[in-house]
Amino acid sequence: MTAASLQAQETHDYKGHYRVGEYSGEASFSYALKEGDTVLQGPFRMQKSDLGALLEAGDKTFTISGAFLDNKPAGAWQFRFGAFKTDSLAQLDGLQYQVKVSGRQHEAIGVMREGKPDGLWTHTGSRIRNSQLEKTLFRSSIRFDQGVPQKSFRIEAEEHTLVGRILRNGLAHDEWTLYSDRETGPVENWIFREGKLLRTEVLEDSETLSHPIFGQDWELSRSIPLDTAYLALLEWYQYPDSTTSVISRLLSENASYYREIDGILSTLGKASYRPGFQVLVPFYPLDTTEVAGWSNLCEQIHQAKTLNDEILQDPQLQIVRRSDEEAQALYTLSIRIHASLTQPLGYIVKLRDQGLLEYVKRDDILTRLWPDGVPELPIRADEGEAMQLNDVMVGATADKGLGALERLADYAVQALQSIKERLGPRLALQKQQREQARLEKGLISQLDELNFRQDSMAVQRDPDVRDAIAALRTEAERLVSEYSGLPPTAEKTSRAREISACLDHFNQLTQEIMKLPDQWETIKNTYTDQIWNPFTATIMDESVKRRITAAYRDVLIPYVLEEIRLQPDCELAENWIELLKTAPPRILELRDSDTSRLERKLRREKDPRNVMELLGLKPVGNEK
Amino acid sequence: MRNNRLKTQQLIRAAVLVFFLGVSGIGCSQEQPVILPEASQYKEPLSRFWINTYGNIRVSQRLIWIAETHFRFQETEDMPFLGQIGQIYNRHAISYIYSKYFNASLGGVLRVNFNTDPLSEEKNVVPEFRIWHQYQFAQPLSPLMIYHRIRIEHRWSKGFADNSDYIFRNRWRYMLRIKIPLNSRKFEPGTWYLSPESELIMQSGKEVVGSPLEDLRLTTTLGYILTPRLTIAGGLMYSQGQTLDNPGVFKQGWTFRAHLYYAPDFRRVRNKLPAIHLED
Repeated sequence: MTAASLQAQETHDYKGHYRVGEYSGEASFSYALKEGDTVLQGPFRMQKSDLGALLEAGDKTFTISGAFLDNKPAGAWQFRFGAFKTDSLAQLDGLQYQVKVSGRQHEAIGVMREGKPDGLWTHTGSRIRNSQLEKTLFRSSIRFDQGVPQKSFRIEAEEHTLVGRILRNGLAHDEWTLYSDRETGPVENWIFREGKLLRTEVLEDSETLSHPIFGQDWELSRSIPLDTAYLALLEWYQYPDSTTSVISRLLSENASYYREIDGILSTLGKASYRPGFQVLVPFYPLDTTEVAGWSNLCEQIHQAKTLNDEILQDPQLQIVRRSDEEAQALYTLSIRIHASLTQPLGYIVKLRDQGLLEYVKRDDILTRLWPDGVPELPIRADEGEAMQLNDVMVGATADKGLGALERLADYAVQALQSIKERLGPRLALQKQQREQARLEKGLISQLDELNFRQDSMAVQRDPDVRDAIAALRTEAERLVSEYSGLPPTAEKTSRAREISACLDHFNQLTQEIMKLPDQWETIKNTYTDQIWNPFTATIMDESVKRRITAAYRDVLIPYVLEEIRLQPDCELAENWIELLKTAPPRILELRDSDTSRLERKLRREKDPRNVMELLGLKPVGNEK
Repeated sequence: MRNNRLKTQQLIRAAVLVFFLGVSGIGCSQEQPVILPEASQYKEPLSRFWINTYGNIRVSQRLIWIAETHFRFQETEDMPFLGQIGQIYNRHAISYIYSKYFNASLGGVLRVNFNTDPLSEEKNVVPEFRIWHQYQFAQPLSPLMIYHRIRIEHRWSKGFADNSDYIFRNRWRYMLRIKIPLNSRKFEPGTWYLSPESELIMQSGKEVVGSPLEDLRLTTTLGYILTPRLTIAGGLMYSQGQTLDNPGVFKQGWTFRAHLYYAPDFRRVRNKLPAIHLED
């Protein structure tokens, strides 16, 4: 697509709210439509600053401005990210309110060409106090030629300064030196030769220690970017010695700043924004069978880790083992397995996930992870104690890297599974899972019961009764769906128990409500006298003590049903159940008692709670 | 032929004359002969307004005290129906409920008669006494109820003249009443009913010569049952009957009637047995 033909296309302008990854703000830019895709073209600007948030707890702001050409960033770009708070003291300057801010800011300025950095790019991280620069926390200056860093660069942070040289093709070369404000000479040195890291030199206690990382004898090498994966590789090559490399830290920090920008630009269009340092690493290629083999191994290791975590983090086991000898022994065994097998093996997964397996000598893995020798299988709890996991097979010993590791991982998984089974119900997690499953099944069956009841209510003619039961059912469904959205934690199980109890009450309440129409018929009949009318010579029904039955039917029951309909609440359910259970018998009781005073008091009594009290029932519900 | 017809006519005339002479001879106070009209004569209808209260007060499981008080108004020259008070009735009795379908009563009546003749110089008020008994049959014919009432009264009454004496008569009454519920299929509070009834009142006694038909009453009322104990009704009655003086002369009247029926039960029985269980 030539620029000319592109210019012939129509450009649209967008101005409004926009979201790029985790950055959400107001954007204005231009774009063209090409085969349904949005092609950014022209100036781009995006920003977010929330005064309200700033005045409240703090604001995370950003400003991004630049331009695109054919969907690739091109031209001058500026990024500013800030996390600010304010003391909220505002000043009126002219006709503008000014507020002082304090916090951190990350600023990046440079030029892009064809989606890659070009020219000098500076990243600055600063600490701001009261809108003044208090301290520069980080600064990196790298000169690029279309994405390839050139000549030398400089990274400063706190009291350190790192300078290094790069060849034309981006390969690290010569000495990368770290200076400190405290020392006169270099504190750390990485010596490269055309990308190969020959050795590192670290000043420790006035002594310069030299560490040959990769060694000299490589057969194959590969050029990879100097990024966090490379730094991890360096860590591995020094394992188990821990490294406190400041250069590593600075390079890592720089890489993270570049990653932030790259994330944004790559989401918007097509870009590749990297520091671009290239290094050579030894290359030990994997063939396809090896790739599969290592992949399987990593799965085994992952499984072992999960099992180990389950056992070691089980809260119930922590308590049980203090009184149960066998549990304690199994627990100790699990710890041993973790320390000697699972944890070291975990490193392999890390290497694989960062794509570094091809750059390590796999045969060295065994000796590196276990410098004191591969642990003897089976792992024992205590020296001399016959804590045997009889059902666990120990594979044939193998010297070769992958085979040996497989053997170890396999054993770890089996041993841990056996331990888990032996612990059985002492593991809360298992018990918890079982209980949770049981509770959830119970919840479903309770829901079904509620639904069934409501459907059998199709013949219910009383709308109040119908509505109350429908409200209960809706609430039950809501509780269960809310529960199913919970993350699986220990709280989920206790919540399941709560909801189960609640649904139980709802079921009971529904049953009581369904009884209401029949109960009313009984009450009506009980409160009916048969009178002989001599004038018609017929027997007529006459309802007696109307005030009591009216109070029940017109005040009490509608109130109860209305409250249930409006507030199908778990806590209140029990109270309603009790009320509905005691009210009808009480009314029937009153038929034969002397109730003249009661009837007088009930006259014109509209407040349901008063009615409840007068009838001798426990008042439930809100004050009206 | 002609001779025979003339002779028969003469014979009849003579017989009538003798008859009346004979009648006048039997009656105590009548002295003039009564002349029968050629065709039955109907006096001008009398318009009346009756306010009747019927009380049936339950005194025990099977006994009811009938307490009726009626106010009968009749017309004056200036005002129809309600012009003046005619009689005030007090009828009381004890009634025995034999079953749902039969009851019998025995009691008395004190009726106060007011002199309604505006020109009369005689007494204004004269009391009248009766002893009566009745037998009522109820016949359900769903949704109607049919009632047969046989009432027999022994009556002492007298005129307004100063020297008039009490005469004794027996009254033989049969009433057929039908009650038709209008807005339901059974009688219950809130029911409107229509009640046509017809009563035939026959009288007999020494003074009753040729006027056995005292009153034929045809009434229709519309009633409303308020509660099992309270009913109201109102309607119109047409009545006619022979006058005591002259059997050929009939009196008639149109009467508006307003009824109040009440049946209180003052018994303080805890568990009043349902009325149907009269045999318990």
